[in-house]
Amino acid sequence: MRFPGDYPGKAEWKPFANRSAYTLLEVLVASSAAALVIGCALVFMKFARVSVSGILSQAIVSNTSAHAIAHMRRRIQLATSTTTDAAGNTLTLGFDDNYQTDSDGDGSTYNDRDHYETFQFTGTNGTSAAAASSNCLVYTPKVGTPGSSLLVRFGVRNLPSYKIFTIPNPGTVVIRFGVVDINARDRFQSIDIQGTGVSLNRPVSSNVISILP
Amino acid sequence: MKTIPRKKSQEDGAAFIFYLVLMLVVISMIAGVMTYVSGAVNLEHRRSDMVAAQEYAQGGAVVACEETSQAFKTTTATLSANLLAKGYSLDSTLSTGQTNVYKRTISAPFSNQTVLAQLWIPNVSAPKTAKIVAVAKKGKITQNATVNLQMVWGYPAAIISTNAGSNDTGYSSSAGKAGNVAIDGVTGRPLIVDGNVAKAVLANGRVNIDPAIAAVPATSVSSGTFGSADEVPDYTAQGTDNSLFDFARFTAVADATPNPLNTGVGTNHFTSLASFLKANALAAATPAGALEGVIVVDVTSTSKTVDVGIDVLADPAKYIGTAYLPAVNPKTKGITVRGSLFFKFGSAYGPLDKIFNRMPMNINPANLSGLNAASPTTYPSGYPAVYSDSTKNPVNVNITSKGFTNFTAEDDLPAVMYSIGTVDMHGPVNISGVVYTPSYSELENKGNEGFTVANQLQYIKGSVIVGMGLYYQNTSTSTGTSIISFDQRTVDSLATLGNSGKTVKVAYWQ
Repeated sequence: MRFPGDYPGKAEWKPFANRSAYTLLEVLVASSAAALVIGCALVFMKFARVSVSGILSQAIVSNTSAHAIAHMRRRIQLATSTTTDAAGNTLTLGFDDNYQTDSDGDGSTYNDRDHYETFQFTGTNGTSAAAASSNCLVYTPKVGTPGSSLLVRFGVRNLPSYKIFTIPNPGTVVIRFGVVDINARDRFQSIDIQGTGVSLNRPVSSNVISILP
Repeated sequence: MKTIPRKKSQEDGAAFIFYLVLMLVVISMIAGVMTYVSGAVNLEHRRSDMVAAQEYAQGGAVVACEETSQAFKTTTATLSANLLAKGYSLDSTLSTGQTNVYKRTISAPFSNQTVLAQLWIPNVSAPKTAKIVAVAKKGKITQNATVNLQMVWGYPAAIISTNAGSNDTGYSSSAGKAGNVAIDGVTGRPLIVDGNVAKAVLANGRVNIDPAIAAVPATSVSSGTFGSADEVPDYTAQGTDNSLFDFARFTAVADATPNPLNTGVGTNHFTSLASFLKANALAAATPAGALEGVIVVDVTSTSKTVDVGIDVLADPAKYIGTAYLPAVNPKTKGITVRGSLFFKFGSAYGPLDKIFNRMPMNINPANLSGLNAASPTTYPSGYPAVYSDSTKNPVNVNITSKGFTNFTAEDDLPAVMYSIGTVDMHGPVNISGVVYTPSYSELENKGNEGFTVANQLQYIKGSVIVGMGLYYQNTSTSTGTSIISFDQRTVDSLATLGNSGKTVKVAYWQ
């Protein structure tokens, strides 16, 4: 009996590892495996992207809205006056710039309104996520002086049936708003937030705090 | 046995590297996301700590406010001693000659949290202000809250009566003389007590209101509080001059205020009603048109033969054209003062002994042209006084050499005071500021007396504070209007003796 290697001049049989090319079978198996891995990776990445995007979006809207309401509450605490427009879209706060000067001549040096700040919702009122895409919340640190900042850059919307700013009495501001991420692919991440700001420097005649519902 | 050497494959390595890179990309993505989320969570945590620290600091400040208030109201010891008794200690590092700083670490009512409270109090016998700084640390976040306090008048009302009163339910002068507040009206004559942002009447005794009057609603009256927790402190020391205000301090200011119109004396301290009225008439002709500053008038005589001024006040019509009345418009100019007018009765006068005043009393007079009695929002004020001669302004009069503290611009000074005795005002009244007496008081609108003024107005914008009862009346046959309307501005920083009548109030937060 003769084996292939026994014939001089004919190709010697070699194990797979020592060969310089793949067989069709090898290629098919390898390609299938690679396609499976790549497919899994793509599927993973697709869902991961949605998930990651959602996580990031949720983190962003949560952070943004938390920062916004914390900032508003802090400013309301120190305001000497609080007013809103009829639509409840603009909150105007008055501040005393110099506690040693009685600029309004009422006999008290600490309750003046030397400058005003506003928190203003701009855009279209409503609860629609699509309509909220260009809605923002603008903070103006000194009315009448150029310079304002976007407290919430996009996605601000009303909570159902509520104005954004409500003043049940001159010392209390109820803030209600939502922030929605307008990207449909990550399933519209959003947050609804409401809180109450109480002015510690409210006028004497408003020292009544109503019980909120 | 034959070993077959295995050759390394380039293709195998490439696949491995590909998988490795892919894994690294995925891991990097996950790590990036986790880092971001972790950072966001950390940020949220810090924000939560910040909010908590703020609220702890504010809570601590409120606790310190209450403790300061308690220490302030406890009169058995000094404010400093009271604070030390409450656990505060003097911080010698922060304290200066002008300011004492007390500190305490507050742990209750918090759970596992402390707040360091600092009280910054001016180093004077009767501080008017104080500041509390509370510092709280939560996690890595430290926040503080600063609240500024004022020691202000604690009993806001248009009429305040500290007397225990009696059981007299009438609303005649006898009920007033018994220490009650008797408000006597008649249908069709406006007799208004406007509490504005405060009560209309705060009385320890009875408040008897003629049912004919609808302008003093019962809900705006506090009465019968003597002996209760709601009692207005008896700062008037019944029947004595030792009272809400340091009369000697005001007299020192008058003594130190130059006034050439006071012939022979040269100051704002007049030794008789007659000399005061003469100077008042002369002042009416000056550009100022009024006497200015703290005016003290000694009322020692009980006889018009000794002091003709008593008769001039009682019957001014007799003296028109004399040196005692303003030459022009005496019926309206009457007595005109910008500042404070103090009738200093002598020992011959008891609480019910009167001098009648039918001359117009214009003390820090308000412009009444727009006044509509039916609308309290139109009630004007002439307070505080605006001085045409700044040397008369009590703020600019130095009385330290007489052993008193100088008045400051923050002080609210009363418009009219009188000691034990009664200035019974029957004529026109236009007073802005506090009207005070530790004695009995009468305010009667009698336009048919004296100058016989039609539609006579008795108007006080401020607060009427009495020690031994008040009779407030508008029942005369002539048409007339009587209004006492509370003005917070006149009592905010009332310059009382020590801290009499004061309480601790939050002025503002920083």
